[in-house]
Amino acid sequence: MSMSKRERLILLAVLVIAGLFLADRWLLSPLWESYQGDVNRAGRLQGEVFQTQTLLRHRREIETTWRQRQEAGVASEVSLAESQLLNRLEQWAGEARLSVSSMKPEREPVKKGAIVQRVRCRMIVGGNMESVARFCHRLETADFPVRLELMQFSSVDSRKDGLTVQFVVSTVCLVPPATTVAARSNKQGLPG
Amino acid sequence: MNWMPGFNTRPTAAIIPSPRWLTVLCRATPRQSAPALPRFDFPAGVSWQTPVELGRAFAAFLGEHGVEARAIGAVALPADWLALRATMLPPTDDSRLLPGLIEFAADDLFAERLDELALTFQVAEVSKAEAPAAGASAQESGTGVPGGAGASIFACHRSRLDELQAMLTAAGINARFIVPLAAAVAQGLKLPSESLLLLQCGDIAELAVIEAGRVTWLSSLDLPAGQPEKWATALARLAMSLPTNGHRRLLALTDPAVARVAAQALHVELVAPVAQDGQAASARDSDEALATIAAQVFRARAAGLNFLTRRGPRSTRDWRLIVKRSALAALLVLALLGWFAYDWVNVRHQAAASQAQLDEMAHDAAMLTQIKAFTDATDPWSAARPDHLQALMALTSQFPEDGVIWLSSCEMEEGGRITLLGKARSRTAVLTLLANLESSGQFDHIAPSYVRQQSGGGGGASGGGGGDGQVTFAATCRHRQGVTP
Repeated sequence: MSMSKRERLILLAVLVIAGLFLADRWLLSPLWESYQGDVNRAGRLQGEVFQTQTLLRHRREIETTWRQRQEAGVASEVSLAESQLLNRLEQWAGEARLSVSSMKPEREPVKKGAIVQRVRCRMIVGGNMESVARFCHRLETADFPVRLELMQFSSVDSRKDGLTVQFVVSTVCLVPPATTVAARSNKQGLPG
Repeated sequence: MNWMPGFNTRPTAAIIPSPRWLTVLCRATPRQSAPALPRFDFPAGVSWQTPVELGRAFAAFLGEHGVEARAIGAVALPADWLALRATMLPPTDDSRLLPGLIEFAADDLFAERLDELALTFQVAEVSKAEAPAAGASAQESGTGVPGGAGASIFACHRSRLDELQAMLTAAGINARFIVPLAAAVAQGLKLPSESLLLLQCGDIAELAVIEAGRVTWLSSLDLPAGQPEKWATALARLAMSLPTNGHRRLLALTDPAVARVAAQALHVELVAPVAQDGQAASARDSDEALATIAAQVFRARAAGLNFLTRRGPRSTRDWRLIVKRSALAALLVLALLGWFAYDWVNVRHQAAASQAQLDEMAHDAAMLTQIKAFTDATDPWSAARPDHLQALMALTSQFPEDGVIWLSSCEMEEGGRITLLGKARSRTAVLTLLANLESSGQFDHIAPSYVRQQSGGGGGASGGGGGDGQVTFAATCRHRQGVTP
């Protein structure tokens, strides 16, 4: 079959366009996507390297902080943290001449993925303003991890200086890895 | 079967323009002899100054005679449309230099500016005796002018070509070849050197001097229709203007009667022209002469004698140039691909190096990350404790000192939020307290929850006064420095 020059030209153009399309679909686009994937991966890894190097540069500070926290008495068991908190609160209340009406410890359940566990103590004391201020000062300058979460005053008598104060104080202890794993397993319904 | 009418139509006709009419030259095909078309005389009011109207009229004429516009593939320009200059070219063996040499020569030879002219040319063949041995072989292959041979340069005004093309467009004709008529015929016929060529298109004849295969002189004359006795006079007058008298042969593509008269008037021997393919190209009548001319015009297309384009890349050198440029383009593409591959390899190396670094630091990093997570988690109990004592002192310092407010309850939460409940001697005392908190700058989000008049008069606060009686109130605020960092 003989073709005219115009037909040959059209056929050539169609073949060239089809060839370019197929080359793009099967060769150029997959190659480019693969290249872009490698570029993104290299960028992500370089970012991770930078972050890790920054972390390692601050190694001394991090380790020092951690050592100070351990020396200050971050407990590694809940019962230890609880008894430490109760003892200290009782001691500080006595020093501040506050009369302790009640003291109730509460253990917060370990959250999923948490590495520390909070232990609270709700205490009700009686005393004057000066004693309360002294107790607060001891709480805020304590050398072991403790935190005043709530302080609620109520006056006993408007003509006297007596106050009833409710404190909610908390401390923290480390969660052993096994506990963390168990907590995760319980949440996910997996066998512990 | 032609499924697309007009799509596969091969050009089989050419036209010769003149000031008042168009002559259609139809080439004989193997299936049919050349159809004879009458001359297309311009209708009244139509001329080359109105090319669009002229084209439409010509298209109607073609339609009336059953000729498709697509069948017309070439235009052969007569002597009236052309200016011819013969010159000598400096020796060169590179055909690519020819257009430049021709333009350089044309700049001297024509009075008009080159951008006003369309040019095409014929280069004379040089005999081996005249050309150097090395150059002769190059000339045989058509790749250059080794011996410094002569050239015939044809020029046509671009304005006239524009008129012609406008007419062709209006007529729906796609003519890609516009060639000088005499040169095209001379190119197609096997002509002996030093001969005369006489062409006839209707009442106009064209006489050309052929030397070494190229046209060196060209002129036209009117042949009064039906007055053969005046032909001899006109031809004799034309013979007087011939540049030399050494021509002994006349090739006539005309009516045989005109050919005989011309031979007598010019005192030359009448010879039968032979086409390049060896076939006799003599004419028995004027229609056959036109068909023969048409055949030579279409042969001339292949020789690249065209006003519209430069010569195509036909020589070995040109093909070599194309191959060189293609190779360069391929090298460029390869270089780009190479750069791309190099960059890709680099990226992969970088990723691998980063991964190796991470693997190397993984142990220490995991340990430090865990320690940092522990220190961050214990920060609220060690480094960032809420400052309740300072908040308490700031709050008590804002109370009015005259004992007009008595707090029954005060609650301080972790985020510095403080809730106050109490009694006051008057509404004004409560507002004074809130204003003091605001103006101290240590508290924000100050909002009274309620201020109520206490029923039954006297209450906890001693004394009376204040104008508006004892009230109970509740308000909230936030200690700015008590915010957990």
